[in-house]
Amino acid sequence: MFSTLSTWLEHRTGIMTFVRAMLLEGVPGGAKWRYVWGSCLAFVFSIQLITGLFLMTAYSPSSSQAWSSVHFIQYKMDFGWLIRGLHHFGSQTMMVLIALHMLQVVIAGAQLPPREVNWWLGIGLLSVTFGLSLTGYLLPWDQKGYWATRVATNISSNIPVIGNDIKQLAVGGPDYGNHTLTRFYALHVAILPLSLIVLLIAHIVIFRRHGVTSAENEQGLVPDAPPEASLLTQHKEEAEHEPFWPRQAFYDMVACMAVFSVMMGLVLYGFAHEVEQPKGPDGAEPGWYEKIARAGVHGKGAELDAAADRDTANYPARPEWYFLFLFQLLKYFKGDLVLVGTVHIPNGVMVLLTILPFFGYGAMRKFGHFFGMFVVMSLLIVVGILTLFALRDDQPDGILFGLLKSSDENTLKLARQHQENMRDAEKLAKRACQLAMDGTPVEGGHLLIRNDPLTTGQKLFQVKCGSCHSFTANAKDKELKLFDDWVPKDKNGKANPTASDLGDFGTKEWVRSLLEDPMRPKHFGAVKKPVRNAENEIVKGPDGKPELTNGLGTMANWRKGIDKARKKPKDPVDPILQDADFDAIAAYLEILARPRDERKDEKAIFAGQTAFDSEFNKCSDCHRVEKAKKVGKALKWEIDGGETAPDLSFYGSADWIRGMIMSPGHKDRYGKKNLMPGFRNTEGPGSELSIREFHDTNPPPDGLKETPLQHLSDVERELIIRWIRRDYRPVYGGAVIAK
Amino acid sequence: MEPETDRRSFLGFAIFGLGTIFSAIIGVPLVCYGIDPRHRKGPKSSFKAVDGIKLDEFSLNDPRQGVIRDKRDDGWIHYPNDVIGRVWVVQSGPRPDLSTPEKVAAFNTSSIVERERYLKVFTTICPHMGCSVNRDSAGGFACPCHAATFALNGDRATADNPAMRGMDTLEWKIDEADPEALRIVVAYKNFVSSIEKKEVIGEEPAA
Repeated sequence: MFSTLSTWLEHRTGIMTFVRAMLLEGVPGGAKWRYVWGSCLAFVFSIQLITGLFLMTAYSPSSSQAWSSVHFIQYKMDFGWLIRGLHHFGSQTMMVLIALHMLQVVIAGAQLPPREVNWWLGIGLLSVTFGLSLTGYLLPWDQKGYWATRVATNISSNIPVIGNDIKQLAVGGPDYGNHTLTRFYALHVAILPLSLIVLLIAHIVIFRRHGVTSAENEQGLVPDAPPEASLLTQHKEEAEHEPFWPRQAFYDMVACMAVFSVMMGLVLYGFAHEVEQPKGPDGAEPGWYEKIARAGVHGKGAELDAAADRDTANYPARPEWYFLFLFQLLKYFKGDLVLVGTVHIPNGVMVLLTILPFFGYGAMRKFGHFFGMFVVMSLLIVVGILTLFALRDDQPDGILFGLLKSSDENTLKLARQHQENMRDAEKLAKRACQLAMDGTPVEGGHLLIRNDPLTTGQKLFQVKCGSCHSFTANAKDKELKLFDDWVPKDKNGKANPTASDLGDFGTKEWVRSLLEDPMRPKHFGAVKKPVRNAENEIVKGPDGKPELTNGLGTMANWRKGIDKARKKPKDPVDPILQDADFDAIAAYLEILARPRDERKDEKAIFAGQTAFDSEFNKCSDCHRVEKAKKVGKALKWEIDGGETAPDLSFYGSADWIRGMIMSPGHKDRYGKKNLMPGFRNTEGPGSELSIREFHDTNPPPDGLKETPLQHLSDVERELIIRWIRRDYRPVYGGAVIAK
Repeated sequence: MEPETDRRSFLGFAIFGLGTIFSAIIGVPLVCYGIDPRHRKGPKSSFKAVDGIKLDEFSLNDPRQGVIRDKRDDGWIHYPNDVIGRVWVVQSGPRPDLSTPEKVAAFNTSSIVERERYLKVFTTICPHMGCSVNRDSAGGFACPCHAATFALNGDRATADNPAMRGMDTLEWKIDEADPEALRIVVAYKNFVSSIEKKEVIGEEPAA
């Protein structure tokens, strides 16, 4: 059956003859392990082709989508981590194999006549592979690829006269973006691979014309395999004409599998950022298939940095390790000499490699053989040393267990800075990968970090609020290493808070502690205002500076009254009972911060309400608050209480903080006692109305013509609010909406 | 058999063996990756308001079109608030008494068949091939693509019709969050086209 079919096929296509010719090619001098490198390269290239094609089915080359789609492949698609990982490490493997292949070629003297053309084809293949690496590095559009590509393309602009044009052609315009990606993509998936395939076919055809370069076959004369030879019953060949099948094929196979195992090892070791594995629908734990197929969430596969963002202060850009030698070379040629490092030396080396075969003509052959080995080996050694130096310069503690360490103090300083930047970048990358698990905004993955309360919100707080307010990290923040304590400092670096510590603002504990002593620095103790005389003028102290008094003294007086009542000789207030009341009030206010339909604990609500109104506690003399009445089964809420202090309904909620930021002097908040500037969007359409309404509803404090108002965009405000409330969901896609 | 032939066939087997193992290691993940979209479930539908529709504005057999917005995932992109579909709403019978929140709640707990005696909500997606269904001059609905026609109650207008089933109804109820506003909320779904049975895409068909 099989033979009938194969005869039929052979008749029509000649396939069997072709396969036989491929496999029974003679290997003069016999099969050898050292001939495997070329096959390994072809093998890894085919893996790159296959994995690359599969990656193409899910990748989107645009500056707003590329990163997100790669994240999707890495973390969400079945075995995306493995396919992307193989592709990523495949490119690095090819670099190593190329070095080994070249080394083997010059050791055998295979660049010498009559094999010059094949050597040149090899150099072409080397250049194309470099091109594939360079273009592929950008495609994920992450910070790493983006900043490294900026450097790489800027190098080309160093070339005299045409440099800028070359750069602009590569980048697809004056700046990096969509067209850079589409052009790099076209190069990476079509133009360069097709060139590589054409060169590779020519390379193999010419290789087969001459055969391996062994002592028996220096001049490249390989007789064709005997036509009567068949695949299964191969006749004994003379040793020097041993056919490719099966021994060399076996060696090649074993070597390819060894290379593949290394690649798989790298993929399975995992260089990606770990993220939390999403639960299935209805919160189900992932099954065994999901665990393997989406092992990207456990960090398997290749690393993905945070999405490229031009709004990055100090990204520590480094090229992929196999380009580090060029990066290092650049350091030695400064100023006018920059061309030497970027253009002259690299191109000079390529020219030198190209003319190597010419040293093999006639009597020069022996010298040419030696010279070829000398050039390539020295080149590899220099590249290796430069790479080590590049690695050394980035490690303050040196590399190779400290054996190789820079002695230059400035380099060490830069290395420490670099390591710090790397740690920051890693943190952001991990954060971005985690946030993108819920999908990315259509504007691009970089917005996940720009609109992330934990990172950006924190910075905004420090800039906008942090010159007055402190923010103390609680035990959980410290345990998760989310951030350190923030304390406002004056010009001399001395702690100088002038408003409350918002670290636990609005929580039960915060309220309870405030009731205990409102003048703790955590609460209103740091809030000061200048003393004014009867003419409303600021009173100056002996040092010429304004005299200060408590900004929010009413609560201090209230507490004094409480303490006094407890010490009354007649009918003193029982502190134990009253402290229980305070506990109830703190719990009640925390419940009030929730939306009305989520206020469920009726016992706590009514207990807190009673305590709030009690004649001993006197809260409702000044504060008003939403109080519950039972109507049927439901609670009906009505506002009730005094009007000289803030309305405490929703105290500590996002709504309340929003009100405080946008309208701190509103009668629902601190009114004329307010000392905080307002923060609103004062730019763009509608802002003039907003500014006017701000001044209408925020009467100026004593001595000021109007309450100060500062610009804060809506998104910035929401980021700050979420940061304060430890709600770390990103503000989504420029809109003030949560995921 | 000569020992040389033995060795050759051993090497041959070894090559094929290694090749098979390799093909499996890389082939299985490639296939799984390729068919990955099959495992992706459609979104879970929940009741969402219909923009631009108020019950007070309806009269008998006067269809209105409305828009349903919800969060939407498109591969790697998450849209927090996107149009997920359009609906035709037709009043098919007299309006029940909905004057108090209690009556609204009671109406919402009645069966969908009961609710549809008053109002029917159709997706605008044609059950034939998925084009968008319009009104037609005869007073019913017609699909502009392959001339499928439907009556106002959603049934196929003629037996000679490219559509294999009538227009797909969506479950709806009155928004209880604000019962006085008399707005409707709809659970939007996508259905498998050109089959006789109404089946939700990405959901197991009911047994």
